[in-house]
Amino acid sequence: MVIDALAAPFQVLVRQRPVITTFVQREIRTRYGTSALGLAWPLIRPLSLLALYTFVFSTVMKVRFGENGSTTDFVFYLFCGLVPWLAFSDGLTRATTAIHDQSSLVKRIRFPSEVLPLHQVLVALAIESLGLVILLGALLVVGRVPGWPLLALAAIVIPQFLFTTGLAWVLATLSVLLSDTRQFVTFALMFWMYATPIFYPLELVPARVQWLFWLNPMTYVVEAYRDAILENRAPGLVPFAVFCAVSLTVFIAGYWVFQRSKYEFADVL
Amino acid sequence: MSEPVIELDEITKSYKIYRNRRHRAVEMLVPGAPVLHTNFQALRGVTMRIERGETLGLVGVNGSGKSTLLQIIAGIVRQTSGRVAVRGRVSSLLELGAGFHPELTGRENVEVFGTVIGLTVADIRRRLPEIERFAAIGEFIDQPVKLYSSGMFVRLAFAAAIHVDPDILLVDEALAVGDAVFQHQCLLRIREMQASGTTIVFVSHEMGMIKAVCSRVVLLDAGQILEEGGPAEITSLYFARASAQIAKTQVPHDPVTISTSPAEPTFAADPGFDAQVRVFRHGTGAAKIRRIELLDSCGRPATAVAFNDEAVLRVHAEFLADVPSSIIGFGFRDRAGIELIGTNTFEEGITLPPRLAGSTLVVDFRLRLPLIPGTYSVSSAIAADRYTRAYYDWIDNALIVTVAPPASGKAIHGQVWVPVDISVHPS
Repeated sequence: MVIDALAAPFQVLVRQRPVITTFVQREIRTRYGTSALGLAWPLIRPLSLLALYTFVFSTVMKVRFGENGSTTDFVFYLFCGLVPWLAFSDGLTRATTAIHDQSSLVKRIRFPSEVLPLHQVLVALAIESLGLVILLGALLVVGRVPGWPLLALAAIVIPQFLFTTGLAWVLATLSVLLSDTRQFVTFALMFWMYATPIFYPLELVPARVQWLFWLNPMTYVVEAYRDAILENRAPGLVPFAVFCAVSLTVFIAGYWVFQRSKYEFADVL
Repeated sequence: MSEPVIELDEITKSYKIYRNRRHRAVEMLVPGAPVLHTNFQALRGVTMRIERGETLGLVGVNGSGKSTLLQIIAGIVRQTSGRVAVRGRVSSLLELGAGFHPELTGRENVEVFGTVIGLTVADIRRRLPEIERFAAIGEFIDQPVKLYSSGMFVRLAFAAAIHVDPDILLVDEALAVGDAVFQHQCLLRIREMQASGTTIVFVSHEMGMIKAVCSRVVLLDAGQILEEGGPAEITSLYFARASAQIAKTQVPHDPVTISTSPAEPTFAADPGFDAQVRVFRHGTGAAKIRRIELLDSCGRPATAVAFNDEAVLRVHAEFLADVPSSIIGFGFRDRAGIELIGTNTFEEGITLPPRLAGSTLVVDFRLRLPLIPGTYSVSSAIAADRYTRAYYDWIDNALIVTVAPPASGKAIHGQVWVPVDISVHPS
């Protein structure tokens, strides 16, 4: 019984694979396939944000990253944090409205509605990987070749996906029942972004409150990305295990919340 | 005997009705919150078995629970209590093109749709040529569906839904779409599917369609099964109940006209009539219809008459201005709005005399109603003459009349029956 309940969210990934695949393709096709610049858009957005934040935080506010504290360093550190953050926040924002946006599917045909928030998270991750390619290309250009710890990224992405999806299921459920959720998510994510060391190194945070930052799983994600890509450092086993445990819990709990309410969706929408 | 394809055991469904959206969230999220909803009981214990290859019709008035039941079988809505077992792949025609994305091409949408109902992309690609042929939208299959006409959209959605080899097909009034040729094509395809053993559950208000397609019919009323049986039997019962219902809701008639001996009719305005027909009425107002009633062969007011029985349609008119001439007429429309029979005093060679303001007139149209059993809406009008288009009064839906099946049990083919002489000449 317990095993079944724990395995159920993973079975979704296996059983609904064809639906997940077509929906990810469909989302990318409809989001970018119809615009003139097409697949340039997922690059334009992070790059322009990167330019903007670099100007504000590095040029104006003189935030410093890395050993020599150059602007180049700032750009790399910022980009390393921005890429997983955008994947997280875009995924959640889209997932929150996913059920609403497809209400005709949920109301009119038998449809595995858990796929809807999940596929938005996957799309955001796919777009993130484009950003990573740019980042790695830029590193090669300046001659900073990442070492083998880069492979650790592959391991981090999995719990990152589980964590985001678990939250996505909860928010999607809430937003069907309470439309205020959409307002809430936008602004909560803004707070969350500044509470994550994306624009500043964690070391700048007063030592007394640093432990608070470590309660934020996204702090771990951002730091782990930087370690793997910029610091040539493999993630420690214990923090990684903790992150995995947190992500699994969120994933399974999120699924449970979603399943408990999904049969009400057709009644409410 | 093999297992039934669909098994429903004591299904109930109650919807929680909240006065306020917030109440639902509070009830769900706050532990120990007071009960803030009232229940609406849509289904009250429905038990049925549907065998493989059966075509089951679900009939009942609006709100009887047909659609909820179909949604539960489809797995869209979950029952409040009871057990549902559905064995096989379900394709539903509850809302055509549900989930079609306007920006994607027809082909892409069909692919997405196919995976949603449980096919692999390869399966769908294999079926695409057939779907294209059935939908007959030509080159448009590779255009975004937002460019489709509504007819094309429906044809493609329908084609996709019935070409995915479902084990169970759920149909909710969906056949009433598309042009006549397409409807015909759909019916043929449904017959093919029946022949190949597909189980079909069919919801319709169109009793002709139910009779044409179903092997068994269930009559639902207020969320319960009232009766089940053969299509002819249940559709007659449906009509009988419908006319009883209409009789109950119509204003009771003036006792003066309830006489079994045919007496000279007297003018009697129906006090509720103006309010009842207000939205269906137009005209100059020089004359007004004050009451319209149907009398059976014994002269008793009736709302239902048996097929081809003699009846009288009586129109009470009042003149509010002096008019030199007038024509009074009527028409019977079926549920599709098609006027099946109709005539007027002029066409039948009756000249109405000039009338003064304040005078009244009662006109009896004695006729038979050789119409296929069903409900019909009666329109009536008073015109000045046959040349001008001026109507003193024109009322649609002035009266609803039910034609009951013939007592003889004769089947009626076509909307209208005409007397036929048959002579057979053996060689």
